[in-house]
Amino acid sequence: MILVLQLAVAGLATGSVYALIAIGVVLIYKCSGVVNFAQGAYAMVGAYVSYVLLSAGLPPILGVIFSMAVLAALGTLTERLVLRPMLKAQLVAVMMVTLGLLIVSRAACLIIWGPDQIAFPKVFPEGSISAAGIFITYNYIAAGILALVLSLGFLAFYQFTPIGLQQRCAADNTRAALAIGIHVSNQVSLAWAMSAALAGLAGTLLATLNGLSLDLAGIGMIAFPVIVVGGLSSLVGALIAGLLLGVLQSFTDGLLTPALEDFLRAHTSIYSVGALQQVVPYALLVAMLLLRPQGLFGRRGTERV
Amino acid sequence: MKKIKSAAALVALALAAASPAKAQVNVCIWGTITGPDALVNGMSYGLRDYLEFLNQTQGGIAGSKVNALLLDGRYKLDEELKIYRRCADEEKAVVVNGWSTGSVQALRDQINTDGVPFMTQSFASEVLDPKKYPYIFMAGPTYEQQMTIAFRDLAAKGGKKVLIMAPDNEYGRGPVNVVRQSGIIQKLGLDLVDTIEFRYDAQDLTPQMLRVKSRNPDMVYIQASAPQAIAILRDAAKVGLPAKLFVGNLYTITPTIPEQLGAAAEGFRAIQAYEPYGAEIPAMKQIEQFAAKATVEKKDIYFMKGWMEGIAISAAIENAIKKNGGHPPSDIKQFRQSVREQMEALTNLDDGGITPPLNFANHQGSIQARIAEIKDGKYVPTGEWINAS
Repeated sequence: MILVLQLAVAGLATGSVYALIAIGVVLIYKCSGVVNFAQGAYAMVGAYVSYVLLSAGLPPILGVIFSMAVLAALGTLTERLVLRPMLKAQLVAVMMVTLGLLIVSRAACLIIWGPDQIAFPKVFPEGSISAAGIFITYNYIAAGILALVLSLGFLAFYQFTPIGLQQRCAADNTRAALAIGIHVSNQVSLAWAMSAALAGLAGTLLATLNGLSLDLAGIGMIAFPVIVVGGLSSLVGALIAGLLLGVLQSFTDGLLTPALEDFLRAHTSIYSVGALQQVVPYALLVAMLLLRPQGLFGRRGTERV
Repeated sequence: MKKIKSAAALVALALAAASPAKAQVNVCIWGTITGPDALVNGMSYGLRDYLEFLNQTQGGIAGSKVNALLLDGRYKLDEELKIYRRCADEEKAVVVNGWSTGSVQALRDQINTDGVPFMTQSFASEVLDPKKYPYIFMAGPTYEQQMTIAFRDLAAKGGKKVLIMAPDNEYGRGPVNVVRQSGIIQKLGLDLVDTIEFRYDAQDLTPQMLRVKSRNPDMVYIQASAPQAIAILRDAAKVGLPAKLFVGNLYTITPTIPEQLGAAAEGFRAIQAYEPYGAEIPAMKQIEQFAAKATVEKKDIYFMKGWMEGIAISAAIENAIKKNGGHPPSDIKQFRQSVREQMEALTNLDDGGITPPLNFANHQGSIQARIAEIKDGKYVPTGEWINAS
């Protein structure tokens, strides 16, 4: 039971970071219909920017806030300079451009910081707690709680503030939003800014947990199973699916894989099932597309890509 | 005066034309310059830099300039296979130095067909067979021999339960299967309580560490490289597993581990087969001489390994050139064949103290190794060099 609880805690911590990334993807999708493959790039760049700021001696809170601001600016620039000129281009072309952005960002980081993993400055206090047999470090707890609180806070902002309302209007019906005086293109820029800032924060949190490297860019790919499971247009869905995926991956590694391997080793000549964990998100994605294409919280009629 | 100058220029030109320029010797190196195990790519730079050092100090090898071509395989099999073809066909490399276990396994028969002397950075026993794969050489004990050293150490200290962690690729899985099926673990009186595979570029291994914890082993052997060892030790600390429980292969002995993990790395042990960068050995003097004029990309133990490989490869090439009357054979096939024979004939080769004297009759150079432990942020040998066979 302790193992199950500990796996659940670890899964929730990782899943909350997935949720942050996925919320960013949903934000952009809702506002512009674009599935942004560059979300992982924002996470990676955000982590590197935080690394530079924190290494320069900035207090962790300021460093992370500045990093989010830089990423927000980068998101806005991406929308204004790259995406807006492609307003009339086919959706597939726009998505390919975001994929290109991912590749270019990775190459830029490679040139600047090199290929090696970098030790990330301490953001959270060192140490750990052990309660009821569950052992967990402070940085794990802090990253998980921060990601969860921000996700919830962001949902609240979107639901209960005037800007959030404008965002939702622009996302739901562009023409109607224009008719009532909402500056839709500004709302789209704002969505890109917030999305990039969230991804930047998620990247920073991941770097505090797992170290800083170019591989962080790959985290964006996890977001896609998350948003498909949660529903492409549902922010709540992204949050819940992110947590679900984190826990599922954790259980797969900690419970399913050992049980399966023990069985196979006892009854067959198969010794290992490999890294089954990486199959889980995509198996879940396929199952969801087959059984409930709109996702857990999506609405029927949501455009699928 | 003008006439004298013109005549002198003509004579100089004629002399230059009359003395045939020695052919350039091409050596092709591919490593993970960018990719998941770039942290240990010092060995690619070390080899390149040694050959460059020969160009600077001796005009190359036996008077022939060496063209050391360093390419990035990015730890991608398709990329590595393409690079090999380029090295063998287009670059006409007399020796190729290649990287991943997967690529060397995929290429081993092709290497035989092409007849290219191949120094592999992989230590998998599946590519080491002087009769079956006469062109493939490596520079140290196999992964399986390294594991055996660690397990012997555990048995000697009264440990019983061992667990192995390895990535889900040929580098991880291959040697683990060989050792598991060899029965050596049981012969040593140990019990293999589990083998855990993980993604080579895994970011988070916390659930795997919880699985380790549930098996309660006396030793966890890491058949992986430094980046994975960092992830393992970092996540082990998250669930309360001490670093002293873990032993890594010779690709986990880099200062980056204590630098990045700090106290969480204290007690971690790794197989050491080479003297570290900065050791008081003759080879360091050469390296410092080189470093005075050029940039050393990676100042670590893997650079030393590459430097040592350079010493062995250049010795074989030099002997082949000497055997051919002081000139590189014009036929590349003949040249490669001769280098292979000379490589195999290298006996008691002094590599400046990086390893004990090298003998390549077994295609391994040196098979001596020892265990080093991180103490106060530095790797400290825990015993003497021992024979890994």
